[in-house]
Order: sequence, then structure tokens, then C-alpha cells
Amino acid sequence: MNGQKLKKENWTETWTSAAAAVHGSIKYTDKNYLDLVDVMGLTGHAFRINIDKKEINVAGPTSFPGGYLLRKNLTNLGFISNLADPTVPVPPDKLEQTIALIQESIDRGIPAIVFDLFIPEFGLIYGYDDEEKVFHAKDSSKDGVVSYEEFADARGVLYTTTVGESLPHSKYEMLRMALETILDHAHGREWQAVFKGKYDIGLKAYDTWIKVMEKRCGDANGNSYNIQVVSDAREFAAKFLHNLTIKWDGTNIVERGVRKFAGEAAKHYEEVASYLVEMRELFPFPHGGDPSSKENAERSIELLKRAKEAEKKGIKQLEILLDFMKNYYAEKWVN
Amino acid sequence: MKAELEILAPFEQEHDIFYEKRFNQQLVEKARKGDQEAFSELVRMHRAKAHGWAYSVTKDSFLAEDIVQEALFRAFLKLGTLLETDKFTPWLRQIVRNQALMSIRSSKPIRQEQPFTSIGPSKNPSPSEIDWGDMDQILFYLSHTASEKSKQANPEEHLMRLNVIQGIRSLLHCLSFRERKIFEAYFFDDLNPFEIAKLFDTTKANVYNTISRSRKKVQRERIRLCIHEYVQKRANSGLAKRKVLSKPDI
Repeated sequence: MNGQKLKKENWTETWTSAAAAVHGSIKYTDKNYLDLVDVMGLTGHAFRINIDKKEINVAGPTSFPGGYLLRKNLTNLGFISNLADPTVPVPPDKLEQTIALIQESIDRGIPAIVFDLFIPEFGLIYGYDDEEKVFHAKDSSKDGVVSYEEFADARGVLYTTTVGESLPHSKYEMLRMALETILDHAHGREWQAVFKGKYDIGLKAYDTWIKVMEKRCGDANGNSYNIQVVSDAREFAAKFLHNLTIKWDGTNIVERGVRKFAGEAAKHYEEVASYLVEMRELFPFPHGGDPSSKENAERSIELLKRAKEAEKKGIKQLEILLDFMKNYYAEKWVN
Repeated sequence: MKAELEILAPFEQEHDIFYEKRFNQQLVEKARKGDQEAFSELVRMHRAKAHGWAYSVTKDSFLAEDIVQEALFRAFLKLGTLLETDKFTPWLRQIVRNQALMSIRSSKPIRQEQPFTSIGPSKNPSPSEIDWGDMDQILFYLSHTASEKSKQANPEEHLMRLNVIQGIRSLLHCLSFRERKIFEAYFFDDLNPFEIAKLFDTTKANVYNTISRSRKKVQRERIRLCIHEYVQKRANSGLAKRKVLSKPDI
């Protein structure tokens, strides 16, 4: 424990656009009590790290199977979801079904989650106009309209996820599922689809990052962008765990257990965040400084090593917490 | 903005590999200066590459020409699906290959482009009158024949063909005359880009560009028509035309 305070002050914005989009959409549902910190934590996004092996490229943070991951995110929050991801060029029937899926969601009052509206990040479509043939859409860069044609002119796949029925998941269920997601990612068990082999995730990603810095191969822009995303995520991770110690305020054994283990884990994640924030200052986005200079590279390798060690300890605590959530200790024990 | 950087889209051809390196460098420089568009393009490029590997599992060809061929052929098959049949392509291909586009090889003088509708529907074309180098005339002949036949023995099949032909006719109209000629030469004559370049007195790179651009235009046109039909269908079924929720917090 190094007792560092989190530097971040604004907890309503994040560099992880997938979580921002999920949070933005569920605000229109009965689970609108979940804030961005909850969503970052419960979906596992606060605990993600996705590093390109060659040069730490800019695509890292979004190079995951989006359809799968967003569905899993929504599952964790207790939602059934819908997915469209036909490959381009999209056959007409699939295009119609995809537009219909978005319109049906908006008719139910919930925006649809999409990718690459104005920039290649996740965003939301919150309105449609058949006469103008446009969607009303928003992402972190812009609020505006996107014509149906522009939307259909996608790359790779024509992607959309819509939020369906809200299920009565309890906070216990949500926390358990979150911990499983977080630990699967940390230990590289998460499904990576076509990105497997090119991007490393979880604890291994720190080693990958270190290797690239040792070889002085870090792409300045990509490196700085990845630091922005990962450091922001770990700040949320620490905040999320800290909030558990406040929100789980009951007196029974379970609430006490969550407070204890989450509190322990929070300290480690605060430490992780502090190292990554220092690295962020070393390589400011977008210019990214000079990752190949000896001094910068050595300092960042040191910081990444420390971050990894602290994260390992944090993960250990989260494993204890998950075991506990699967099998609560006895409230009273006479022996 | 998107269109300017299309050169970097997946499925591009050999000459683009050359551009890509140079572009990549330019993009990196721009991105580092905070150019959002350049940054976005870099993200897209890297993602597209990953998708490319997945694609290469099923279709692995190092020859750019083969890739173009494949991509174009797929695109054309998709044209078929627009009209809910894939039987069309081999059928049309057979006919056209056997008789028709040999005439392109003979390099006829370039004709003025004629809108299809100017070939009056009252005219009763016979195969000997058709200029088999002119896609409009071929399609007109085929659709006319299909329309005639639809009245006879196997009406369903012929109606289907008629629909297909009309669909393709409307799609190819989005291309310029020259683009269409090159596009057709590629499909129907099995000419490789080098042969086409010689035929049209241009460079191979230019042929690649034209084919790539044409393919995109045809795809866009197809999307435009599809959306047009979809919106009309919705309007006819009395569904809401417009709904906008409050602005999301993102």
C-alpha cells in the first residue's frame, strides 16, 4: 500500500467507450441507478488491458470481439440483449433487419449501441427519421445525424447491440458475475476471437508491454493512447472497489466480507493506478512523447513492472472475494 | 471525410500496399499532432488487418489479382442476393461469355452512352441486332426475352430472372460509361487487369482503381435502393416514421 489518492475527479467520463455506451443506454431502463463507476466495475471494463504485441498500436483498447463482449457486459448487469453483426457487404435482408433492430429498440425507449459512428469508438443511436433516412446519434466526439446509407457503409461487420429485457439480478449476482469476468480477463481465459495471438490481455499484457518498451518499438501515439485508456480504467477499478466498501453497508457476514476484501483489493488497484498515471504523464496523449528514449523507456518499464506486481496482489484479493461470494462464511460458528 | 481515405479499406489490391505504407506514415504524423480523423483511420486500419487474417483462413491468396477477382465476384454474387437468387450469375455469365463480350476485345470505337430507357420497350430485339459489347442492350434483350417467356411455360422462373435483370440494370446505372466497361470486362470476359489495361489503353493501377471504385459504387447503389424500399415498406405498414429519445449521457 502506498496510500496514493486517486487523481481523477470526474467519474462521469471515461476513455473506455464501450462502458460509456453501455452506461448511456441503460440509463433509459429500470437499472438507471447504476452509475458509470458501477458499470465500469460490473462489466469488468475497469479491469481490462489489451495490448498489441508489436508496437502497442492505437487499436488495442477496442480490439476485442465487440458483439460477444458487449453481450457479456449486459448479461453481467442483468439484461438480455440483441446483436446484429452481418459481414459487409451486407445483404439487403440483413441490412433491413439491422435497421429494424435499432428502430425497435428506440421504439421501446432505449438507444442502440453501435461502433464507428463519427470516430472508431462505441456510441449510441437514440433516434430515427424514416423521412430524412437518418439516425440521431452520439459518441464521445459528436452529437449529430448519420444517414442510413452512411450507417450501412460499415467496415468489417455492420454492428449493433440493443438492450432487451431487464432481469431482476440482485447485487450479489452482479458482483459474482463481475468478479468472474474480471478474473477471466486477468488470467487470459477470455475469448478473443480473431484478436487472439496479436493482442495480449490481463496480467500477461503487462509483460508484453514491457517487452515492446525494451525493444524500443513502442508507437508514440499508440502507446500514449493505451496508457490513457488503461490508467483511466484502473482509476475506475480502485474507485469501484472503494465504493463497494461504502455501498455494502449492511451488518451481516456477507456485507462485512465484501467490505473487507474489496477494501483490500482497492488499495492494490490504487497503487496500480498511481503507477499508470505517472506513466501517462510521461507520455502525454496524443503526441506521446518519446517512448524510445533510454530514460523514458527504462522509467516506464519500471512503472509497468510495479503496476503488474500491484495488480497481481489485487487479483489475489478479488479471487478471495469471489470464493467468498460463492460460499459465504458462517455468521455464527461455535466450535 | 470517410471517402477520402477509402484507399485503406480491406480487400484492397497490390498497389495499395505501396500507398498504405506511405499513408500509414502520414497518418501517424497527423495523429500525433492531434488530427482526429487520422487517428480514427489508424484505428480502423489495424482492426481491418485483424479481420483480414480471419478472412485469409478461408481464402488465402497472395496474388493481388486473385483477391480482386474474388472480391469482385463476391460483390457480384451479392448483387444476385439483392433479388433473392444466386442462380442468376452463372446463368448470365454463361450467356454473355459465350456470345457477347468477345466484341469488346475487338475494340470497337467508343459509343455514346445511351440511357437504357431510350431503347424503346416497343422494339422487339432479335439476337442478331444486339450489340453484345453494350451491357444496356444485353440486359434489355435478356429482360425482354424473360418477359416474353414469363408469359409462357415456366412463368415463375422467368419472372425471377426478369427481376434480377432489372435489379442489375438499375445498379449498373450508377457507374460511368468507362467504369462500367471495365467492370464488365472483368466479370464477363475473365480478362485480367493487365489485359484490360491494354484494351482500354491505360495502366494496370488505373484498372485496379476503377474496378475497386466501381465495386464500391455498385455496393452503395445497392444499399441506397435497399434502404429506399425498406423505408417505403415501413411507411406502408403504418409504423412510426420518426422517434427521437432524449439525448444520451455519453
